[in-house]
Amino acid sequence: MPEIDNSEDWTTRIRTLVESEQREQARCRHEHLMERNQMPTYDIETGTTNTSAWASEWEWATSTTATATTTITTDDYAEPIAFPVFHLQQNTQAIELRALRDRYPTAMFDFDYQLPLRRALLSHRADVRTAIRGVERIKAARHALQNASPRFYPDIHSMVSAQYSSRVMRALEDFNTPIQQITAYRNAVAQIEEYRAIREQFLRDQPRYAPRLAEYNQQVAMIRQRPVVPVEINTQDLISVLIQWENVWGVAVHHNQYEEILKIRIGLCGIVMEESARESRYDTPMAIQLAPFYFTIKLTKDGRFVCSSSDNNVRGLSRFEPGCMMYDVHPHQLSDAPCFGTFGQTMIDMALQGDIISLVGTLIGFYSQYNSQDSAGVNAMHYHPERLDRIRDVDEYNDTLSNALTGWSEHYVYSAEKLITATQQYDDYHQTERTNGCGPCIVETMYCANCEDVNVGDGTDYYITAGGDRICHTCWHEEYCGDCENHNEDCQCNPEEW
Amino acid sequence: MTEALNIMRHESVFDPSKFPYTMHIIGAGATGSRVFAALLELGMKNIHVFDGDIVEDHNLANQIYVAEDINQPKVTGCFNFAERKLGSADGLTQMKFMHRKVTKEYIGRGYLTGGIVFLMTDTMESRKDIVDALVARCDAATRSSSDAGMGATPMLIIETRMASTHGNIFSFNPFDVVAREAWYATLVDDTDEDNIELSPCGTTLSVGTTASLIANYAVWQMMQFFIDPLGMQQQVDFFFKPTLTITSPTIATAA
Repeated sequence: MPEIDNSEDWTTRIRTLVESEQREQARCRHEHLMERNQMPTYDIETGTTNTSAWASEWEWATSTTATATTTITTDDYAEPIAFPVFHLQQNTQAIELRALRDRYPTAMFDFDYQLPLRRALLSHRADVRTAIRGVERIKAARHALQNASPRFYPDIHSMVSAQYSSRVMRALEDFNTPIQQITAYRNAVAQIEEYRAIREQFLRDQPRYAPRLAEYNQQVAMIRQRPVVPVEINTQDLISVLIQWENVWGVAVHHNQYEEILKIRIGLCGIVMEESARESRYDTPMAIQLAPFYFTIKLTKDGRFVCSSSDNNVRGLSRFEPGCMMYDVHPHQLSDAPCFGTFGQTMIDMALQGDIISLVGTLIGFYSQYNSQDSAGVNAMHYHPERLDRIRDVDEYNDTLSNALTGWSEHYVYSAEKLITATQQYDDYHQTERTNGCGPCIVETMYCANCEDVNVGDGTDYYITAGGDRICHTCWHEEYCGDCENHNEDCQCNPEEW
Repeated sequence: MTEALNIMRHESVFDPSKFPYTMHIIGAGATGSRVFAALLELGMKNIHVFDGDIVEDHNLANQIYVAEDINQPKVTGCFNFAERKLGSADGLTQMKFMHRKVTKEYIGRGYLTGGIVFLMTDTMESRKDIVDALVARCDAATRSSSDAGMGATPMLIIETRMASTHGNIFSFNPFDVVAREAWYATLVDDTDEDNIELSPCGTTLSVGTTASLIANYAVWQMMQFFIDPLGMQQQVDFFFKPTLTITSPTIATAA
């Protein structure tokens, strides 16, 4: 910090200190301070200089560009910066194609009915041939074991057992069991019968579906050849609408003109997620408030969007980093591809049409719920204050969030008051709810991996395959290792090999 | 459409802005040149004309060309017609006028993509070759289920045949195996003299009014495809002596 001795020197130093981009910003700040009589003054009588305002001015002038940018966008004395206009090629083809497909029976797409029978069922016949070859190999293995001399039996046994599972080997070595009772044989017969049924179905449906399929393909070509319609997204209008929303504390946009990508970062507060499953996994499904956070949408010029979950793009009160900030702010994580469960297709369609306002609104709706029946949503209770650490430093938390907008783009609007109030409100909520608790633990409801019908949750009786799947009693004895001496956690048999 | 063409009188029946697809006209002879004129007057912007011939004096009687077009490529004559019609060439930026014959190889190299194909070449053999190439593209697109492929396939093929006092229009979906097999069955041998009408000087007979009627009905087939697909007839046969029109929802196979 240089010594302060002369106000004119300081003005000069500021002017020379800031770079060309900041020079104008410094000038605005200078005039602002002059108008408010905050410039340091030299008292002739005492020989002292009032440096308090100057010190803050010095700190400001030597700070990063982010701070300087703040002045530009919010200062009345600064020149306004034009918000970017993003041109998106409205891509409604995917929506139209989906609607077109819904108008035709799904069975029509089982086969290419325009092809002759033999070409259309080529892959099915190949599968049948493979199954028949499997049966031939089993017959050969049985024959080899049955006719091997005692001298060579161990070698032949080791060769054959390398090809088949222990269950199949037991059936092969039981020479009293007919080959027709071996599972592989039964599977081959079932495949042949299935092929016959498919063939009959094809011949029956071809006269009906072939012309409709041709008509469908013609319509697809028409949709694919329709020119795309450009949509102009005025980001200033977008921001001015979004910032009015109750749950939005800040919005920033960043336009990468080289890659033709528009990024929109939205700060949310006061989000309360509620159970959306019809039958909750929890005994007492609760509404759980989230701490203020932000997320980022990346929108391409053809209407595709992603919301990646990396730390740079989503940040809020972390579940796994107690009291700190990371991307794990919600049970349903955003990933690199839009996968928002039942919300997904709706949001994709909105983005394709360039309807960003609706997209953001739907994302807020997505964040405002959790589905405990979902493998990710079942963790929602871990975001309850009883299981989530408190914010370590509220001021630092707010600074991090606000800097994520102000330091990320020069085109932003945010309400510091809204953010501070929301964070404090969440902190108070956290303190209160932590004491109240979140209710009894989750009751695990898990269904048999085979029949998906019988509950094999914690506290019930079930078997576990080598792959870790829970299998109910009935399925285990009918389709899995019913006679296997090693069941439950010790089971080494892999049903997929049969 | 360019301001020179006011289409308000037919816009409520057919609005070309709703169907911005490419119209490929293969052959700019008696029927083809009139198809071009009809599409132009409808307000279609995206018209591609292919023809390898030049205008001769006997073409003036049954084609849209004028005396100044003689000895010029027919596609140039089409361009001149359009320029005269619209008053300038400003509205022709999306149109293409290709002085060349369309062959199977040309289509195989990726040209002539998408849209609707009006097929009016000189010979049956050339029509068969062109359709072979187009349906091969359709088949490849459906097998691969590729988006780019479907963007390059024709949606409809409209083929016209003209004699002096009668004519045929075939309109079929190139994805429909049954329809295109039926169309293939209608092809006749170019060298079969029973199927060729010759004038006393040895040239094929061609009456301008017949060409005009067939061409405009072919364009109506295109309009019908967009605005009322169920009403489109795959085969239309015209007779003028006596006057008779026969339509069929499917292409009639030869007995």
